[in-house]
Amino acid sequence: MTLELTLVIAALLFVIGVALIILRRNLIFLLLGIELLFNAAMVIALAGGARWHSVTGQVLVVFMMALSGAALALTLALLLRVKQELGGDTVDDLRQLREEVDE
Amino acid sequence: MMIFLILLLLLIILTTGAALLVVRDPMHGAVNLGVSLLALSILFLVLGAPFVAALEVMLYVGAILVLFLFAIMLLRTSLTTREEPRWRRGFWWPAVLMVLLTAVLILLFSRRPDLLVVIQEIGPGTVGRALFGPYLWLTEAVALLLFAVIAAVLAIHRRDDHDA
Repeated sequence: MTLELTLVIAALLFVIGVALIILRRNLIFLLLGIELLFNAAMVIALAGGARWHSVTGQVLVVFMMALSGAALALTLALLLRVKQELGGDTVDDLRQLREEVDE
Repeated sequence: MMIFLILLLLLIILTTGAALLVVRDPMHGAVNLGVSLLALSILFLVLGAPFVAALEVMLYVGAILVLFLFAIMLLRTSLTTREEPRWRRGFWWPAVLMVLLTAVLILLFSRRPDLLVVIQEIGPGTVGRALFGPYLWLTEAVALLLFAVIAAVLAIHRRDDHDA
């Protein structure tokens, strides 16, 4: 029962993360949604490790934490650069990049 | 008792996630994400992974959330000084989150020995032996990746003359 509820929590985190990415316009909330997606994957890995009494789940989670931290540092740096260059931090501000390419 | 704890964690994650979808201020979003991560660390503890639970608190709440806060502060456009009333409004939601987290702690510490009956705990020693044993090359690759990320962030923020 515990593991089933854990998988429900993971699914919930995944749905919330995808909804944040799709629905919100602010790029900060988009990054928060990506972090939630990473956390959903981590919950599933830990549930698998607990189910089969294996240490591999925890090792996978440690690597996922490092990867999500690396991705977040890079994307936050890009976000600050976008703010400097384009003067905004929403998805609509990024759209003008595509218009410049189209022209 | 463990079912209650996990249902409470589910409730916390559901409410903070719903709040993340509707809040306007990114700072409020960061607070909600922090509470959600704390609940997740308790879930990891229940799943028999105390090392990962500690890492979740130290790395996510301690480092990644602080990174978010720095970014939010740097992205803020202007310091608008509004006329504030005497009492701060909007403190009820953090109070609700505090009450929920306190309930989690009470549930956790009141029936601690019950928690590890179903799921066998895998301690930090086993994880460390796996990380520096069969997964040593992967660990080194992650170290190299983090170093590359440092270089990439420095390259993104480099300012020179031919820079747009």
